[in-house]
Amino acid sequence: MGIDMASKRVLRVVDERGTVYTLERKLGEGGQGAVFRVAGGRVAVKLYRVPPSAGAVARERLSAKLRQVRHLPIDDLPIARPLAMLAEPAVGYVMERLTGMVPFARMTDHPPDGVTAWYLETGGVRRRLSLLARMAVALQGLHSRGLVFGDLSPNNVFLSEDHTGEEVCFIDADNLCFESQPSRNAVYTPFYGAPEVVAGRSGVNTLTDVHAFAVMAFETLSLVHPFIGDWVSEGEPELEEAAVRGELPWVDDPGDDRNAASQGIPRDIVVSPLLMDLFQATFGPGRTRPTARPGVEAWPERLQTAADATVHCPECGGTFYASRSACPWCDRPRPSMVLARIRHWNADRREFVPIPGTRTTRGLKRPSPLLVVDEAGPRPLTRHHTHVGGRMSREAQVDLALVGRRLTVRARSEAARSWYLVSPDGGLHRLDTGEWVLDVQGPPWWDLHCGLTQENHRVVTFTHVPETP
Amino acid sequence: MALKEFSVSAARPLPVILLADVSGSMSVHGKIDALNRAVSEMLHVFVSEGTNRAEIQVAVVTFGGTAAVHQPLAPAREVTWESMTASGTTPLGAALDLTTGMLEDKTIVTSRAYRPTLVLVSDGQPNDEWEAPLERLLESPRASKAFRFAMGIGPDADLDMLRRFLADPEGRVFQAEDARQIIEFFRWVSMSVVSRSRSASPNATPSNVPELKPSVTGSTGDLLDGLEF
Repeated sequence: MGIDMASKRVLRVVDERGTVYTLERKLGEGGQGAVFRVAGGRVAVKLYRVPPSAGAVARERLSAKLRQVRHLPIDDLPIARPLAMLAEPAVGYVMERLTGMVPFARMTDHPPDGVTAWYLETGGVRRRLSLLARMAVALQGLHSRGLVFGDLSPNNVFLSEDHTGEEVCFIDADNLCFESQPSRNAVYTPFYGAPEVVAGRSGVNTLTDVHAFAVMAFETLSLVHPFIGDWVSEGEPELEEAAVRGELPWVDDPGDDRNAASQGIPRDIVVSPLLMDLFQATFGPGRTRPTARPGVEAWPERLQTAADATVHCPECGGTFYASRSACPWCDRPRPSMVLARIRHWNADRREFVPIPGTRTTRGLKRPSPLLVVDEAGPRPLTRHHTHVGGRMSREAQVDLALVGRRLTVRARSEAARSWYLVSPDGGLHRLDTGEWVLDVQGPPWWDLHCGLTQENHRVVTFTHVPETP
Repeated sequence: MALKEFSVSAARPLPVILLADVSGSMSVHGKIDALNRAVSEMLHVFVSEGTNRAEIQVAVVTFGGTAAVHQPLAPAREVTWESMTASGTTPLGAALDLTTGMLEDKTIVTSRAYRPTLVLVSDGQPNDEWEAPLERLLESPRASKAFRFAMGIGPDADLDMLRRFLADPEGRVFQAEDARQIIEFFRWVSMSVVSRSRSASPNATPSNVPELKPSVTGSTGDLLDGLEF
């Protein structure tokens, strides 16, 4: 017996090896079933919604799927791996634990009132961008291996419960499939399915994954579904069905404002211009023409750079893009900050060149790495900032902390100890193991060379920007 | 420090209207107690399964002696459930007219609302003129589009009347023999509503709700309630 009916309060399931799991509470729910926390917390259990008559077929299909997933090259990706099938009559499986993690839906399920306070408590713009960047990296990891996630939604991605944590983990590994084997599988979660999947014209593929990702990103940042503007929201429910089939303009369509959204957080507060380009391509032309959607590889750098470009408000604790002169949440003037701008030293030509200045294959601009340092606490320069080709690596190299107009610089990695600072008067100082306290009131500014003059390397220039008057 | 406020769009209402027979005969064999318990449990499921997009609203129209709005249409989370008491005759016709009036009143059921769900529960024969009111309900623009469920309690239930309320050759009247089956019926209704509130098109017929099998014994426990297994 798989489901213990004896107790009304406690639900127990048994796996194929006879291990009994007591389900504590539902963590999240998707298109096919629900995920439960298990007593003891070492694993989680996914149970499918299946009519008893279809149980045998569903179990067989799931079992085959899980055998396949076990052999996929995904060990380095944040995906909770299936461990064991459940025994009859339950249809489901046991998966790796998700300690201290909650469904991503926590970032989109806003309260009806007090939205701003909730938005800031749950991490504000910076944490949202960082989490989305991590998700995009994981999704890129799958797509680059020819795999499709299938049913991406706020219930199938988990994140750190702690509002300062930035870990993400995908849970629905049983929907993984190969891009090369065109799938008729059209499992999707309401409101996240791509229009062609909802309309029944297509199964899932990398472009439907990227649609679901973009919806999650747009919703997480703005609290508005990209297809549900005022027209749809105030209209009859039939209009909503048309909207999710992609038949109406999206909320920020620059050429058609019929479905504009007066609700949610204004996009200029939460969406950087480069991110808006991606949303426009995905929900504008990409709404009806899937191949017009930018691939997932366009997202990680833009999301990370947007997160790096945010500054912390000492008044309300919110974060906002440093290009704004005042906090959009409480109107306090932007505090003083140091802008770590990153350029490239070309050793052959012996000159600085802006980076990267390249375009991706789809003609999209790549953002220049940068980092805003404010007085709220240290921020690390990672390999992403300091190394050519260090894209999206989170390995910390140098810690930067600002107090007043003094910037503390300290090497975190072995390599960084051999890097050197160039003072405004031209003096060279090896970073070494010490803590450097720089007076960053320039110009001229301090530079940090992440390498030696005779080799190509990145150079970080620290520009101090005083508080907005 | 004052935070700027931003408004977010309100969830779309998903109305559920229960027409409950509370005539005198419901007071025997614990029927009314089971019905009260079942409705209260259903409300609990609706509250715990709420989503950002669909707000399940509940109204209860009772008919026992007179027809009355026992619970005006309100979001499930705002309802403080007051038990129904059973007495008097079975004025179904008046209850149907009350329901039609409620459904067609756009100040009560707004045009944003998803298709409503109507649930009719009765243990006997109506004793007022009910056929014309039923026609009016079935012909009214919104009530005609509603999802309808019907349960007959005990051997005296008017199954023909309940079938005509469903007005669907495929529709099945659920027959409850005891209190447990009353509860079971409402679990099925809850599942169907919750499933719809989570579906890609909450306006469409729920597709993944298991067929109700009155012969199934035993509860699946609280964790599974509303889970559409």
